Amino acid sequence: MIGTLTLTLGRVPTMADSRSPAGVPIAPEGDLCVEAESSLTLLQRARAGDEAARNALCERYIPRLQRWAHGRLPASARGALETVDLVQDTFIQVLRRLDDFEPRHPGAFQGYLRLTLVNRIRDEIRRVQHRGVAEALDTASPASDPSPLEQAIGQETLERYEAALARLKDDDREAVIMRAELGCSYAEIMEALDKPSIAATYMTVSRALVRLAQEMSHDRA
Amino acid sequence: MTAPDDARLLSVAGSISNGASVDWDRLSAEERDADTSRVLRELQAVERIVEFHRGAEPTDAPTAEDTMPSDSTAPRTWGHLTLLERIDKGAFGSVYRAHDPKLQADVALKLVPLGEDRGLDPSRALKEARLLARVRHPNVVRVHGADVIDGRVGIWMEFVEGQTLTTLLSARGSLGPREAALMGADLCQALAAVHAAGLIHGDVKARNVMREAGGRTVLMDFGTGKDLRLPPRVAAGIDVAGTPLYIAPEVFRGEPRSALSDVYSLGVLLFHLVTAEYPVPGRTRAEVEEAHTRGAHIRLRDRRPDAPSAFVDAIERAIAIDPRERFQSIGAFEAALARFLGRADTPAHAPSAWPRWIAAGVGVASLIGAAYWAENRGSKTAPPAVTARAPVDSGAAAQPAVYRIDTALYKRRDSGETRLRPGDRVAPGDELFARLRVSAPTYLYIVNEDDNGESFLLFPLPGQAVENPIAAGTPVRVPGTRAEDTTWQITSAGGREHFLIFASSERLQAFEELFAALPRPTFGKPVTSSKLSEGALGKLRGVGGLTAAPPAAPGARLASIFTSPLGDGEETARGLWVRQLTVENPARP
Repeated sequence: MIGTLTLTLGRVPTMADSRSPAGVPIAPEGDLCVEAESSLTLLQRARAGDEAARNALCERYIPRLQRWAHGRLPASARGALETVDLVQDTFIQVLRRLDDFEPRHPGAFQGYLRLTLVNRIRDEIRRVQHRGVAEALDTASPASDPSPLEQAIGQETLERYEAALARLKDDDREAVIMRAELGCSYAEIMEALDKPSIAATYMTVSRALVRLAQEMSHDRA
Repeated sequence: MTAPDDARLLSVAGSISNGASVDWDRLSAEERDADTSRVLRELQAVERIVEFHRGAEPTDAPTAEDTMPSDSTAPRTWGHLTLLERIDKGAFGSVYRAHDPKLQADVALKLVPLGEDRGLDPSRALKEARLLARVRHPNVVRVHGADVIDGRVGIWMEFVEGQTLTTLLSARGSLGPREAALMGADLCQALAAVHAAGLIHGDVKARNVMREAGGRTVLMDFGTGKDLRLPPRVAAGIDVAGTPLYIAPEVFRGEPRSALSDVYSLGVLLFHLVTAEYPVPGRTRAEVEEAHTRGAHIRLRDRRPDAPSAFVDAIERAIAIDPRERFQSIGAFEAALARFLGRADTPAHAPSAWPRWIAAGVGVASLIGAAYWAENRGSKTAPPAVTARAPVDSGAAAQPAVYRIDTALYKRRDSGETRLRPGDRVAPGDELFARLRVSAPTYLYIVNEDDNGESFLLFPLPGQAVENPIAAGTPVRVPGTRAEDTTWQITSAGGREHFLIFASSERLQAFEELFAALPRPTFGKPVTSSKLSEGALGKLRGVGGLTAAPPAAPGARLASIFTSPLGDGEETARGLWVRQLTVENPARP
């Protein structure tokens, strides 16, 4: 087994993971990308009506999603609609609709849940923005101000990014969203995408980013 | 069409994914393929998206306020142009990237508001812009047109994709004489075209020169350009702009700007490119003016003792205090630079086999590589082939500096520290760190590699208190000192661990670029490992001065290229110094 080093402030528990040649430690809790089986267990308990399990899932997933959504919402929408409510409502809705979901493996649940959440929040943001435009026509107030992300990278770049992301294959899109937007570790992405190794996952993410950039360049041309 | 498997693009994407810094300036400057350039540009946008989501402020990217015309006073359109993003903001207005539907292309639009006592005469600005539109030269930004609309004077021009020399300098550090002279020759030709059109530039400085993706040098920003045909007193009357550090002394004395003051400014720019300093320093206009008055003048030779005399002489003549002692035309300046380049351009072995994107970094590194070979003459893998390889800065082929280095790796376990020596054992749970003392500022790179060739970068790491270059004279502990017990920790077992320690008196651009693709540890996060590609290993072998940079043999490892073992005690080094420490990390310790 390959010796692997971890920069650490204290002592990181050593663990051997048969699927991970790097002997990757479990990601810290409180992250959106959490250890898969634990989330699956929590979900099963939540489905069975366990309120504590539902709360635990919320605590685990919602902070990261809120940060993500915050960057996507224009200031006016953030004022009109509590980001917290948006994310929590979406999360609960997704949980309710998971009854028929039979994951092929623990990671598949991670990927499905995350992508569904992100997509639903994207839809919700679009809905809010459109409503903002309609209201603006009546009130002659500014239609929609840029979101923090839009401010950071520019409207045109954001549009090209979103359009290119939508055209990617599912695995590439998932890899980009997990790594670029949600900051998941390679180990977590390996689980979600059912990749054989960290090295393969690293290449999957890198290729997905290159394909994304290629798609974006087509739009600019 | 670029392939998604393009090794270089994958390397860049991997760096973005890992949060490693990417040298966009050099990548874009040296990329020749248009498709790849476009994809690189988009990858840079992707990097900003990644950084945004990580909550980190991009270090070299414009802030949101600077990138979007989102302030209430900024228009979204101007005339027939649609404003897309603000790309620069200065005392005399802002520059936007805008779309021109008539040209079906993006343009750069400089907008200067009127009525704010900016010393701008709109009719004069328009006249200047029309004069500039007469200039047609590949090294001069192409001006498309000018107008006054909505209380703003606008000049729209070619949109040049690249980096200003200010950005380039901050990213790469000072340039070598030859690279600076090449840029200088381009800028001489640009200024010759400007002067031939009856104009002077009046504001030649690093920020007004762009290095385009593809390597073209472009002279920008004629905001203070002057019509040479105007009476001198009129021209002098609007001499309110320009950066004092670049202003010729006679202009301080009230004389009008002239072609000779452009010669002076360009000389200052080239001085700045190779020293990161200015010949007549000062923090304010008054200080610079006062320095001129008392004749304070830094000599280039004092700052660059390694630079060829032909280069030093050309720069010193361009920045002569007395304009009569300068080159009397920009063409004469170019001829002097060309003479220097002519000598420097005839190396024994041109680096034609090297990809251009790495050539700039290899310039210094291969020089150092020669020294590396020299000190490792006994190594069985050290043919002298590369020692004659011409570096980019062959004109400045000074001997690398001699320095002393003393370093060791330590294992910490159960609060005890043990110095690691070849063959020692480590085990999961061990925490490692290195101690180092150098006699001169030194760039340090530490890579870990296992028997499978899986490797990752241990130093330098972002966010650490210790950064390159390592300071001279004091003991330093890496990784960092952000917390008392920051270490690299072994988390699993199996095989052997090779630690490759690279030290150099100069920054190793080529190493940094190659290592950028390697994963590196972060706090509390899992570590992944990957292999340097065979192509990258081939480059490293060349950098190390060991081979003529063929593709590395399948299965080649860093540990099999750089084999000198790390010993005890202080060593004297010149240029690049590489040592390997191999320890056992058996599955059952």
